[in-house]
Amino acid sequence: MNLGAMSFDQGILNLANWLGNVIMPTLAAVFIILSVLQFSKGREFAHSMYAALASLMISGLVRAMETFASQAAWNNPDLYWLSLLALIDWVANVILPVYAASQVAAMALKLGVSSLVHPTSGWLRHFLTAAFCLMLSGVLRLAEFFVTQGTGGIT
Amino acid sequence: MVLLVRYHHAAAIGGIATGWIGSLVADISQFITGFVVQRLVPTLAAFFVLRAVLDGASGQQPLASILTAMFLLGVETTYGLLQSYNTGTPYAMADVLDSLWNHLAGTIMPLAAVLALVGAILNFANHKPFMRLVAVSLAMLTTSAIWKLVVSMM
Repeated sequence: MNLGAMSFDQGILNLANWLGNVIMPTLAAVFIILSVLQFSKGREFAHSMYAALASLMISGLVRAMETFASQAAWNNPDLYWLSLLALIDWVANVILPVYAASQVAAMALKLGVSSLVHPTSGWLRHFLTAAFCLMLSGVLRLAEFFVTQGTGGIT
Repeated sequence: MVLLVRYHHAAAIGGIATGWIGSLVADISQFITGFVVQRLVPTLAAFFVLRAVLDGASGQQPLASILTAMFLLGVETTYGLLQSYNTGTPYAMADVLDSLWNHLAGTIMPLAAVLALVGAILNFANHKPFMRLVAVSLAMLTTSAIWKLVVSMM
């Protein structure tokens, strides 16, 4: 065994590549099978479905994390905060609008089945979720406005 | 007196001229290289691979044992790496530690971030907390900046 040709760095690099390019795509199939089985039993299946998607997108997710972590110079003390900010911005401005579209579709489907007008009824919940997803920045600004207005105290 | 001069000369070039001590050093060196590194370390690494399998069977995390096996297999290269960091100055130990920190933050941590992301996905699938691992993954990619942040807070 030629130990001189083996290095710890290369070992971890190969471990990460093996996990990301070989094991995770295989596990994606397992997660899809689990989601089908959970769906058939009427259980919550979204986690397995999203995990299957994430397992197939592991390289892209790593590149996304690298992009979030490259918002400033490597020695900038604010880099961690900026990377968290970029992650939250990405979730709010990219992921949530897509989720809003899926909620509108779910609302339309629910509306075809039930037409109860109640905040907890299915279709209205989906509609409100879609609205909140699209208004996230506005809701945050509104909360900030209320807090700013309250800094003077009660007069 | 002659012996003392010879010893100082030999020490200056990095060897030991005294006969029996020189042969002792050669024996120890042979023992470490031929027996410990070449024979014992691969067997220990194989044991840790087996232990990783047993860890997985008992519901524990196998990653620590796998990393230990990798570290053992890479011990010769790691030794060479540490030697290359030795500046030979009176502050050589601090220089080696400094270079090790750079290597850890610049090479090992970004790779560990990938492992953290894989762990986050697995936790998400198993309904376990996963945001912690996402935050850790970002922290591993920005280790130097976090160090600078702590320094700037002082």
